[in-house]
Amino acid sequence: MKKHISVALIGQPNVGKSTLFTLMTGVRQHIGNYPGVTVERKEGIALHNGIEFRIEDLPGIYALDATSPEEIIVHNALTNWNHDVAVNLVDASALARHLTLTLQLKDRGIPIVVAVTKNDIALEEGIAIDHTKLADLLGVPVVIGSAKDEGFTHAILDAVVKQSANSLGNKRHLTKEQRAAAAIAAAVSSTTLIGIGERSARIDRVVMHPIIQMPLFFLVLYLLFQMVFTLGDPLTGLLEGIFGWLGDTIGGLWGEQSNSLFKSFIVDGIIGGVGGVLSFTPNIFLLFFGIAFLEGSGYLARMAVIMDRYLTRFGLGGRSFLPMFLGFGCSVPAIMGARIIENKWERIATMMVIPFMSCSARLPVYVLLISAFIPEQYQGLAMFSIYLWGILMALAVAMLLRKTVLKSERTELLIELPRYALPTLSSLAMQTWNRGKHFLVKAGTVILAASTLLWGAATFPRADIPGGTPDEEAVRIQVEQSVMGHIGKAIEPAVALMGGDWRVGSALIAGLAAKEIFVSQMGILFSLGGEATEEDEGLRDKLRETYSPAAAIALLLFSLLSAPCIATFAIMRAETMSWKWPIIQFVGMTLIAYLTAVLAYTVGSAVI
Amino acid sequence: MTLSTVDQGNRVVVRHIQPSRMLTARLAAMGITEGSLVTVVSNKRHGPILLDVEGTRIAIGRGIAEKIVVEPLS
Repeated sequence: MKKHISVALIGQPNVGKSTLFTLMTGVRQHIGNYPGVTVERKEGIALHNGIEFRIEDLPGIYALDATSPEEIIVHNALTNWNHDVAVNLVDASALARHLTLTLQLKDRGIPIVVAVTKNDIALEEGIAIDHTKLADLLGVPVVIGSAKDEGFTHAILDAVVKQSANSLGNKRHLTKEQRAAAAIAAAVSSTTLIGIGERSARIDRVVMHPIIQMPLFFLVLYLLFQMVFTLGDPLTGLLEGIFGWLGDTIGGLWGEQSNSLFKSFIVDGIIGGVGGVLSFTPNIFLLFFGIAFLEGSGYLARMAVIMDRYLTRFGLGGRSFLPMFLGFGCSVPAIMGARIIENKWERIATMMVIPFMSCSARLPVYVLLISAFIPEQYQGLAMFSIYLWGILMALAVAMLLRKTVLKSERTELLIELPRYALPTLSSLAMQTWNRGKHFLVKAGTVILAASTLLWGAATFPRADIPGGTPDEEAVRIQVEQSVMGHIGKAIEPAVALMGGDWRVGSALIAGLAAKEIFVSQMGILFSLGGEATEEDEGLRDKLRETYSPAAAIALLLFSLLSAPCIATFAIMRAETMSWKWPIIQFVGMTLIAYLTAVLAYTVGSAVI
Repeated sequence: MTLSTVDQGNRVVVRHIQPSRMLTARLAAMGITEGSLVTVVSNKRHGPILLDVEGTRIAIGRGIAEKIVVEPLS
C-alpha cells in the first residue's frame, strides 16, 4: 500500500469544498497563488491510517470550460494530471447540476471518488439518495455524508486509498453528459417533500423583500462595523500598550538620557514600526471573520445582488460592493477582496478606487483638523461630508476609468444564491486566519521596511543640537534638519498653494507610510514630541495659530483623496501583477487630491 | 417571450438560449438549458432577476435574461 497519496478536490463553488479541506488538513495547509493569476492555491496534508495525503483544493468551478481564471486552472490541472485520485464533491440537494462535472471528469479517465455532501440538508428537505445505486451507475466509489459527520472525511480518505490502487479508470466517452446526469440523479434521488429549499426560500422572502432588503442590508453593514470596532478597539489599545511598554523597557536599557542612534533605531524604528502594524491586526482579523461569516451564511451573495443595480450605473457590478465597503476599514484587505470580481477590467477599476473609500487610518487626521477648526455644531456634518465625498469620488473615477482605459463589455451578474446556513466556528476561524496571515506577512514586511526608511529620513543627517536644549525642541530641530525636513522645505511652494507650509509637506510625506503618522509628525514639528495625538489641545492650538480655516479644509480633502499608503501600493503591485496600476493610482490620486485641495483653498480663502 | 419579461411567481420552460459559447456553458452549469423548468421568484423592472431552478436560487442579470427565450407553462 502506498504511503503517499496525492489528491485533488474538485467541485462547484458553495459545495462545501473549503470546509472539507479544512477538516481534512487542519493547520497543515499552505495558501499561495497560482502563477500569473490571483486565484488562491490551497494545498495541505492530511494523515490517516499512517498514510500521508497531499491534498490540493482546486478552485470551485461550475463546468470544465476554460473561460474564467479558475476554470483554466482546473482545466490545466486535469490536462496535466499529476495526482493519484480526484475527490469530486457533489451537493446532495442539487445532484443533477453537480453530476455534470462528475461525468466530465469520468470522461477524461481520471480516477475519482464521489463525495456526496450536505446530506443532512438534503434529508431535511426530504431528498433521500441511494448512494449504492449511484456508485453502480457511475462506476466509481461514492461516499455520502456531511461536514458535520465525524467519520465523513475518514470515509472519503478510505475510499481514496482503495481507488488509488486502480491506476487509471477505464476511459469512456460521454457526449450528452447533461442528459445522463439528470437521468442518474432522477434514478437515485427520491423526493418525498414538495418545495425544495423551502426554509431558504422563506428566509429570502424576508431578506430580499423589496421594502425590507435595503434597511436590512444597511443594518448588517452597521453591525459588521460595530463588531469590528467595539471588539477591536480595546484589543488595539492593549497591543499599543504592550508595544509602548516594550519600547520603554528596551529603551530603558540605554538609560534615560541616552541619545544612542541604535536605541532610537530599535525603539522608534523597529518597535514603533512593527507595533504600528500589529496594533491594527485585531480590527483586520475581526473584519475577515465578519466577511467569512457573511460568506458562509449565504448572505454575501445576496448583498451582491442587492447592490448590483446601483453599481452597474458606474461601470462596476454587484461584486464590487464588498471590496469597496471593506475600504472603510483598510485598503489592503479590501484590494485583496476584489478577487471575487470575475471580469478583469471591472476588478482593476474597483481596486483603483478603493483608496478613495476613507480608511480607518485617516480618521485621526480628520479628528485633529476638524476639532481644531470646525465649530462644534458642524463637526459631525464635516465628518459625514468627508466620507460622502470619498464615496462620490470613488464612483466618479470608476465610471471614468470604465469609459476610458478599462473599457470592456459589462459582465452580467450570474450567481448562485447558496442556501442559508450557520457556518461552523472552526471553518470561520481557519478562513480568518488564512486570509489574515496573508495580510500580516504582506503589509507587515512593507510597512516595516517603510518605517525603517522613514526613521532614517527623519534621523539623518544628524543635526547639531546645543546642550541644554529641551527634549521636544531637540527632536524638532533634528527632524527639521533631516532629509525629511529638507524634502518638506523643497515642496513648500507647492504646499503653500493649498495653504500649508514645510511642516505640512514633511508630515504628508511621512504619512505615506501610514496615514495616521501625519498627526504624530505634526506634533514633532510643533515641538510637542512624537506622542501628540489627535486629542491633544496643545497641537490644536498650534494649528489654529499657524493655518487658516481654508487651509484646514484643503488639508482635509488632501488627506482623503491623496496617494494611498505604501502598503496599499505594495498590495496593488501584488494583486495586479504589474507596476502600471499602482503607479497610475499613486500619481492619479495625488494629482486629484492636489488640484482639489488647491481649488478648495483658493475658493475658501476668498469666501471665509 | 424572453425570461426578462416574465412576472414573478410564474413558471416557464426554457425554449432557446441565444448562442454564445461562454454564456451557454455557464447557464448550463447553473441548470439552465433548453427544456429546463424555471420559476421566476422576483422580477422588478430593473436589476437582477431571481430564479428558482430545481430548488437552487440563482440571480441572473437582466441582459442575460433577455437572451433566454421561454414559454409559459400552462
